[in-house]
Amino acid sequence: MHRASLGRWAKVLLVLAATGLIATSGSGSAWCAEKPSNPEQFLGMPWLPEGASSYAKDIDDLWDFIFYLTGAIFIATEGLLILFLIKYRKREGAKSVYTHGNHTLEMAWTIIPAIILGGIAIIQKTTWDAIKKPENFPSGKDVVHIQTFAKQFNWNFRYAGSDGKWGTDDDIVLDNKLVVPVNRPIVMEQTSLDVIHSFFLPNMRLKQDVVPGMQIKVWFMATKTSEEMRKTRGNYVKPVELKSQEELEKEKTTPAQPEPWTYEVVCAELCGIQHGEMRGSMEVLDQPAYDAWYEKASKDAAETDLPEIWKFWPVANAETGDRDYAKVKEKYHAAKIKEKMEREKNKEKEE
Amino acid sequence: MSTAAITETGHGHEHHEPGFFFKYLWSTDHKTIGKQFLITGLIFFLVGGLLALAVRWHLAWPHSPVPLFGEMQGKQYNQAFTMHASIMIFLVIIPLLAGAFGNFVIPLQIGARDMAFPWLNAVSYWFMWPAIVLLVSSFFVEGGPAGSGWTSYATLSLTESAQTSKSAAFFNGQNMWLMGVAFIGFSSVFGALNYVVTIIKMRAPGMTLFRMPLTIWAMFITAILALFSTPVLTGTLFMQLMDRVAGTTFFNPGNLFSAVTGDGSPWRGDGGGQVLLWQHLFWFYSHPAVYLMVLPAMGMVSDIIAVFARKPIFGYRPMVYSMASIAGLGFIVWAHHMFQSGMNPALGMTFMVSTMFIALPSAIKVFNWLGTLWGGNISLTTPMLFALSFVSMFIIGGLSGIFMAATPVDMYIHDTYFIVAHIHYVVFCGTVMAIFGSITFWFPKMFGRMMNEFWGKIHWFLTFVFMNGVFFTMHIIGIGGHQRRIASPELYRNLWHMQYLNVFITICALCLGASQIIFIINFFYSMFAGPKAEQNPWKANTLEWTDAPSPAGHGNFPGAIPIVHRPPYEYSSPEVKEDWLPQSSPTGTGGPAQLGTEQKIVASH
Repeated sequence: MHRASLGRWAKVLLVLAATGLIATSGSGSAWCAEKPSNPEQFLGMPWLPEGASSYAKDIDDLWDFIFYLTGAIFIATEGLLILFLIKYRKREGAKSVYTHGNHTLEMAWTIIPAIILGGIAIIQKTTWDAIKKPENFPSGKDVVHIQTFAKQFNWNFRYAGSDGKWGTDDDIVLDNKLVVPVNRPIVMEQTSLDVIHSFFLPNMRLKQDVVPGMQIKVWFMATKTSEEMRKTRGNYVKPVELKSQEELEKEKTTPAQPEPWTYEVVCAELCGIQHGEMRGSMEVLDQPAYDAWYEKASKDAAETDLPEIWKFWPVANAETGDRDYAKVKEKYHAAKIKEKMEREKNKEKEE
Repeated sequence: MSTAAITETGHGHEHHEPGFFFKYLWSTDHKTIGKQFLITGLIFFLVGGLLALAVRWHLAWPHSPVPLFGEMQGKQYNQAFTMHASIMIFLVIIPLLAGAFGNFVIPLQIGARDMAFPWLNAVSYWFMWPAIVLLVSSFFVEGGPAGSGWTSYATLSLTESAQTSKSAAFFNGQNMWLMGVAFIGFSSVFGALNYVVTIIKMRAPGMTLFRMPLTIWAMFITAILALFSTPVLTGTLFMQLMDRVAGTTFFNPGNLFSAVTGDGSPWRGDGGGQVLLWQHLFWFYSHPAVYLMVLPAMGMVSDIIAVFARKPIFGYRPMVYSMASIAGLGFIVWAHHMFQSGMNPALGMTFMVSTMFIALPSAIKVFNWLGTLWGGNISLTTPMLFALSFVSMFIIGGLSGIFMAATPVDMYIHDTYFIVAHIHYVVFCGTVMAIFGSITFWFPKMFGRMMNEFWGKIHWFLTFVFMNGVFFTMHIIGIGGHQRRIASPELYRNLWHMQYLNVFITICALCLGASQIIFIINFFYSMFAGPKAEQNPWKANTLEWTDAPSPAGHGNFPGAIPIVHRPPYEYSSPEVKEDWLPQSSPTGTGGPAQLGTEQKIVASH
């Protein structure tokens, strides 16, 4: 009925859409002409940022396997769909093939996908177990233990310091910044003080929710220092859409300073009104640089007073990092409540 | 009891003209209730869509105020996406699929004069309204609506009102959200109960279970799913409400250091609760709810494809069995939302295996749809284009699901835009396409007029192009590591190189929104001024087309209840010259079926 006119319309619209797509991807590459901070690309589009942990390759291999498998299934099924639409398009007065199905085909397309899906389930098991099961975590002298206390809206990290004991004056405390040595397993024991957060290191391929009332351990081993990574990628370039009016004004007089690349520490679980602002960075150092930093930071920590809340945070077993977390929090809260009551009493007195 | 109900409906078409109130508002006619659900759902589709556009605008241009919405900070951003998801799921998709099409199509297709419990049916619609009032008015209370995501994870949701408003009034956003969603739960249980009873007890003579159209099978299975899972949600919502207002600690581990109270004093309570309990209970409902949002669409799409390919459904029984197994498996996959949540990693393996296997029945369905198209005589009408979009987009949504089912890969893509893309490919590119298709398909039966075919196709084309622009690109930024639910992409330096894609998504989203104006105009214009529809404009086999006038009147079938002689998809049968053979036509070799007892009762009326 409207077939002729619709065909023409459809062609025009299709061309328009294609032009639009090409134009945007073109302008996208122009944007990144400076060398993008994450140069990994696939068909000109952003791709998985470079993996830099011991198990990143296992995950990426699994990713590739699923990607090419599903890609093939996608092309096959959508291709058949389009082929059928063209081949079996309406012919006036014709009748369709009268069939209600085919038992052999049904069996084939039940059993073959079942084998494939079962296969994917089996091949990923080792990777998952190695990353997440606590009994498979690396242990021994080489392991670096770090504690994470997430709260709205920072990542707080604590190291035992030079004396190797938790809860002493020389404990290193970092806020939204994590420093780790390269090629050594890091075991982090994590808890949250308020709501659920999620500890996400995109380049390490690690993600784990950090849950109040639970202590959850994760581990990773960085295989590339920040310096090495910086060599293969450019500085961060802020696109103009993301610049505020003030920034644009300022840039008229002083050009923006390039920002060097860093590993990101991201909160991936909605944690409140400033969830988007809960980000930190991670510096991966080689062993000598790490040792030097550790010594200095520990010494500085011994000389400065800790923020009050840290004092109440639990002392952990240096080997395992386990501790009676709830008890210490109770102690902290009891102190706080006492303080509050006293404040109120004083207020009443004044009145 | 059931016999009584059936007898009553048999007599149900006494002739008296109901007044406006009984005709349009407190109507117990399933068709009117279906239309009520439809219009309500479409209105909230607009509201939910505008909220999504506000979210998109902010992500593309975070420093410029959102038109109509104003300045957006973290708080407003959280509230916008929370209410977008809540409205879309609870006030649009579930009411449109089960409420609108379930109500409208079930009695017509099985050959009943109305639902088993017409009054309960009206109650099920009107129980939506407390929810609507609560959710909508929560925009206007102090502190604004709920902002802890549609998943409302404890403990953020427990502290929610304290964060957004100073006064701890009972009617704050989060409490109203909890109560509102509970009302939707009631509405959906009442509806589901009605559908199950109607389908079991009120089929026309000869309509055996395996002669039911797939839409009916889908609605039947969905209703059972809703009956088993929704009470869990209702209970869970009340537990959270009690945690918030009555000082219980189901989900509160206690001694929370709190930015809420500011001075570091503990936030309410001694604890002893388990944070992950909320997630387990919530997903025990909400994973089956994903199938509530897709199974009816699968059924309706099967009907549309068979009609316009002029071909019997390929593998009718495998289609039914696969829907049933999706529903069954749907109850044991919930924790795949929780691989990174801190539950025992050993459980990860268990739920990964069950999740992999739930992909299987979906795959079988896709292959059978392809089989139905093979050798067909396909006409690309608007409903068919939408139904085919459902199939092709559902393939993408299904395949991207395999990435997140594989637990190690999920470690990277969990909580990124890859997940957002996946859910929208299933629910928007899938289910919403099926809804558009079904609206166009059943529009003649609903309103007695045809929708405009030309503008329908234009609307389909624009929607199809732009939705892929929006949601396919989300896969790409997800792979690049763009986490979801952040209000400030400008802070994440690792996302800066992908900002042009964020802008591209937003422009596509705005165009997608604008394209829907075509549909709105077409819908309302056709309702009043479209060309009058014949009884069976699509030359379909099922009872609503062959035996009920367009629009169907009170009591559905003008004469006696039709007798069903054959399965629903006898297109291009060699028995007749035409390429269709109605279920109720006595021609051909398939003689009248053995009548069951209850069917004899109906037949005798």
